[in-house]
Amino acid sequence: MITDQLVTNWTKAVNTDPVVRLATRYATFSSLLEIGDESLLLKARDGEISLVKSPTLEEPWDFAFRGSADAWQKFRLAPTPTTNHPMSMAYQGHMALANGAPNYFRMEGNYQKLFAHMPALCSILDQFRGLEG
Amino acid sequence: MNIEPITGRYIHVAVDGRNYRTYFEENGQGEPLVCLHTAGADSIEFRHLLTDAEITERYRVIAFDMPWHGRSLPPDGWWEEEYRLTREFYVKFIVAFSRALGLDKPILMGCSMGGYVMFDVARQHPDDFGAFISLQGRDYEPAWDGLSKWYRHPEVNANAMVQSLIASLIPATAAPARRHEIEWIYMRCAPGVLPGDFHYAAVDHDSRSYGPELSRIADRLYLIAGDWDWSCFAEHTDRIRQSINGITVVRSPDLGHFPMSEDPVAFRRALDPVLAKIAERGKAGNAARQ
Repeated sequence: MITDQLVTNWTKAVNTDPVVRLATRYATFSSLLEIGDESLLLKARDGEISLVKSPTLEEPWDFAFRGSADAWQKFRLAPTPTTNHPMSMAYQGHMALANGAPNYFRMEGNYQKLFAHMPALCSILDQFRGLEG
Repeated sequence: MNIEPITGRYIHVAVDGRNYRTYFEENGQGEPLVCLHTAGADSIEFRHLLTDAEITERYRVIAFDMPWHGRSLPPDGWWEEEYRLTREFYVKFIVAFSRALGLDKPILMGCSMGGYVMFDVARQHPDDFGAFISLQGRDYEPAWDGLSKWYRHPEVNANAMVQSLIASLIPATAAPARRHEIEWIYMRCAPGVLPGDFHYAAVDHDSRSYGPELSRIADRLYLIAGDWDWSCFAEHTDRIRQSINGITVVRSPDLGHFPMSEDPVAFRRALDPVLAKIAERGKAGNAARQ
């Protein structure tokens, strides 16, 4: 799912989109994006964003955003009421009754850092939708 | 000149010996329709309804800011206490506001926590209001409180953090201007107010046992719910429908958590049949009395 072309296109999109630039202009964090069996390290340093494919143990991160390949594929397609936004896909299960909508994504790690950077993270994830590659 | 017909004023509302200088906006004439905003927001959420000529030619639409919200300042002494909205105060305040304005059995309509409290007001004061319209209402939802710590944390900018939560509750089909309007309304919320409201919505509100009582007035209870709101899916409103025999439930495929703000046209499609039903019931009641 994570091709070199996708990483290149995603990196370019987040560093040029004006909404992402505004949302991330002071953002400083490292996040592990788990996409099925693959992973990406998302690094933001004062608004400069980079994506590192298959990070090693030498790359620490503050929080992880994890989902199955199927969950990310659902997110990538046109939004539906249960796949509308990263936040809902990570939180709707907490409100589900029996057989309700699941949590497609899991958020783990330094929650203070995660929630402080939630708008920046979501703006970056939003660019994943419609990406070629 | 392009001046909107909304009038904004302040009314002093007394609850438990405390005075609350309360901001409200209104427009229109006819049967009063009192609107309650969502948690962490204020009456500006109803600006589209307040300027909807088709509505305001038949209804006196009134929307007020709860204390601590919008232009309603907290009462003196607020700096000595943590803001936590309770069911007792919320219900008392709504009734006190209606009485302070001298309203006679207005229709009461509220969204999110304003929709939750509809069940509490209807149970405690069934005869003070002509009808109750709950938007995105729930009987019980403790999960709202799960993020409250981070809205108060000194190293988290709550005004920025809230944007993601709000965005996730809005339909993908909403116009960008409407979507960002709602996000903006929330991003200017005062510190601690949203988690303080969550105390009511998540901790103090539990109407799951109200079914037998509310079933007796179910012909005056209405629930409108949008499919894009992950806090109010069909499974949630089904439980209310099963508990309150006879409640009218309207589900909309076009709405999310903020129906009156995110898509005013789709909101009217859901609201109009409800208002028509209330009007029809009023006519039948008048005929019976004659």
